[in-house]
Amino acid sequence: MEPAIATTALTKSFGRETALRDVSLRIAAGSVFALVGANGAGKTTLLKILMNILAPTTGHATILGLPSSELRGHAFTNIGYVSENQEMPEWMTVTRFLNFVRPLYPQWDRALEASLLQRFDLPFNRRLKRLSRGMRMKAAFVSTLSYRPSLLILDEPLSGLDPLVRDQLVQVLRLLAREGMTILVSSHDLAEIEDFATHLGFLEKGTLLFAEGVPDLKARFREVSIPHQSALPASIPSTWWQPEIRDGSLRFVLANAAPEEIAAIHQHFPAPLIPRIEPMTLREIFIALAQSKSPTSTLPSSSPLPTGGPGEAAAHKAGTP
Amino acid sequence: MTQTLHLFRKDLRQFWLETVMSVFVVFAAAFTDHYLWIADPNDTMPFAWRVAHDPLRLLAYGFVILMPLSWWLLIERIVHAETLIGDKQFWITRPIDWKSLLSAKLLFLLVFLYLPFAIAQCIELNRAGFPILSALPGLLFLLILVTGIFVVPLLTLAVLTKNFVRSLLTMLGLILAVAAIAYAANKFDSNSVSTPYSDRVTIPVVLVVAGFAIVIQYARRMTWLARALLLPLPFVIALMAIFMPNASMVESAYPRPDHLAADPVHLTPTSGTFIRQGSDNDTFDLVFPMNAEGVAPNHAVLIDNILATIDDASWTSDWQAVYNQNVLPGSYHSELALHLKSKDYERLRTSPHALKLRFALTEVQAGHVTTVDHPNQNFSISSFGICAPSVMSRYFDDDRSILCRSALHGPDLTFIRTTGSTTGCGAQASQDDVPLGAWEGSLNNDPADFGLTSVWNHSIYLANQSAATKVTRCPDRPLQFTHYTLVRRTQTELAVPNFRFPTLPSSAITIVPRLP
Repeated sequence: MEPAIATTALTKSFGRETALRDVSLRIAAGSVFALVGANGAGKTTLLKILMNILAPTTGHATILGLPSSELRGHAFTNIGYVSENQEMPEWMTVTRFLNFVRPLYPQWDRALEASLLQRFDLPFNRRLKRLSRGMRMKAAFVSTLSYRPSLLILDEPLSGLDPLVRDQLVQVLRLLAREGMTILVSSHDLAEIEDFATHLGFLEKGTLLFAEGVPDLKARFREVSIPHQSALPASIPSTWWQPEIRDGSLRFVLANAAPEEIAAIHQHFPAPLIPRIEPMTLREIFIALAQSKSPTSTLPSSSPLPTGGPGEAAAHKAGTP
Repeated sequence: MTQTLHLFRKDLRQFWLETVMSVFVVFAAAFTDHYLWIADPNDTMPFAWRVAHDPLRLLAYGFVILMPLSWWLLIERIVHAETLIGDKQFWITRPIDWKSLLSAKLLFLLVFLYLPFAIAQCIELNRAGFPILSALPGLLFLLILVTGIFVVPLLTLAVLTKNFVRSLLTMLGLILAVAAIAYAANKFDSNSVSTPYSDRVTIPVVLVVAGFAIVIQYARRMTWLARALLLPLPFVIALMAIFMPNASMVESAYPRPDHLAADPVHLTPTSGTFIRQGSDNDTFDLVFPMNAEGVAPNHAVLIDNILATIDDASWTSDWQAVYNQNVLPGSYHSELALHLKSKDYERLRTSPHALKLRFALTEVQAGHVTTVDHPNQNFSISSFGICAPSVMSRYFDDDRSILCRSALHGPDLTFIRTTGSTTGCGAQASQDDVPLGAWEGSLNNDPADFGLTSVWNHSIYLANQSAATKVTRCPDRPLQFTHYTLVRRTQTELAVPNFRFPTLPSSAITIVPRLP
């Protein structure tokens, strides 16, 4: 099946600065791909290249089978784009704005529009420039979701929104994702999107460190804790990430939780030792992956993610609802 | 088309105020233009005095000046509504087709700029007494000129800038660049020539290059390419103006006669050649008094350009324009001035030289003659315009002027003659009567000249060459308008052996004090 988005060795430089470096990515149709990275990681640049707002320096991308460089005009009847910093026709009222965009889309769903308007409780006769940031994002969402695009690209759509508005938008996105809409959403905060993402990609300093399916990730990773250990084993398999001795236990992240790997752990630490092998949250997996693959081995300081090892992430999990 | 109309309606809703202002200014200019048809009696008075005493005339001027400014604002606003520069615009990720968008903008200009302007010009022509139907081709030509000179450059500026402030700064930069180029051009070569060739290159070049840049911007938003295309354009136009092959143009327009062809005029130098300071400290004007005669009956000769050669081309001047030297049958005294640089004068003045003067001439033939027996009120002259005696007698002794207006361009070449008197006009001709005359108009046959109003005004001063005493035009005597048409353009030559450059009178020498 043809991917909804495919990029090959996409690179973008602004003068001497390289914003994006050799990004190759495939996003399957119907998936919800969360592109995560710190501020300045290159997420917006990547999305703008996909939307043909910027031209890549090298490499190429296809969107719904069309080269991104040819994306213009009619092609956007099937693609939605909402960005936190997009300029809107601010002189228009909400009603006039929707009246303006509606005729541009032959497949506009009036019922969905009405339902979204009701759900978002938008003030119809207020000009966009007089709306709060959250309200303006809601208006952008109504104008984008009402034509049921096959592909929805969202650039930091939830950042800075209050939890209520965020929940409302996430609920709608979840509904549309269930209907089969492909969604690519960027965020600098995994917590915003981890609930409904099916795939996860991490961009750091313009480089895509990993991109995998969330179920695969969750199935593949385990947090392992073996009590009564005082030193690291002499030889550590490559699938044991970030091993450490803490509180008298050996802790590590098992990067491949295949039955034979689990059996190997039990073999390594026979009874009466009972290894504790637990599933990990997406956040914990994300941190483990980021730390293992990052060239700098640390997350950017601006990242709201916890910056410690898996153990710290576990503590974070314990203390966070 | 549906999307074009959709975007057009959106622009109209968004910019109704700017649109109303622009249309108002265009019609206000048309309805106040008649204040400009009469000569300004307060021309030399201070501005504040003129505002207090003649506000309507200044208002009329104001509307004409406001017209391009309101167009600029309108064009900027409608283009920047969907700005083509930047990466945050809402519209670029919506299914808006660039052809529809560009069409919507052009349709907007057609409906709210061209149409009001065209209607306003019809109203203006009608109020000035000109038939609209016969002026339509000229009006269309005027719209093309307005497109090339105003609309396309302003549209290009708008598509290449992000907002009005950037556009304003770019405009100021362009004005400074053009001023600098003009200054440099003037320093480089201050001589101009008169040729029948009008500029048929600049406007088409501007239309093609700027049009291409506009399309590139709308189709691809490749600002760097559009700017790269346009950046050299003002410089190329300026360089074209500076390095215009004037000599070739004169030689081509005024071919040398074959040996059998008679000169259309015989020019004979008379004594009294003198030199005076030129327009700046570096130049002098060498003035040749001439006797001009031998013009065939019913003909006239216009002396358009002059060129001087010393000692068989050891020094040759540029071709230079000569102004207001039109010769009728009979014997005429002319003074033809040649500009030369002070260093050339200093080099050449020491010894006698063989001087050769060449003149570029236009021979014209008298055509239909219209006589106005009682020119006391408005009268209409075919292919010339509508005229009236001057009413500007409040501050100036100008009763020898007539005021004329023409539609869309200046009048055809015409000689106007009447009778004046040194002692007071009687009902009958007397020995104190003196002839008065004036040339007006040109041989240019373009359907329209560029202007923001379609009515052109002329104040024609009827002069007498020889009368030293005060001459008054006799208001009850007929005015005769003789229309002239082109016969040929040619050259004639005049050799002056053993020519000595005159000495500069002491009053013409500028003494620059040397600072200690």
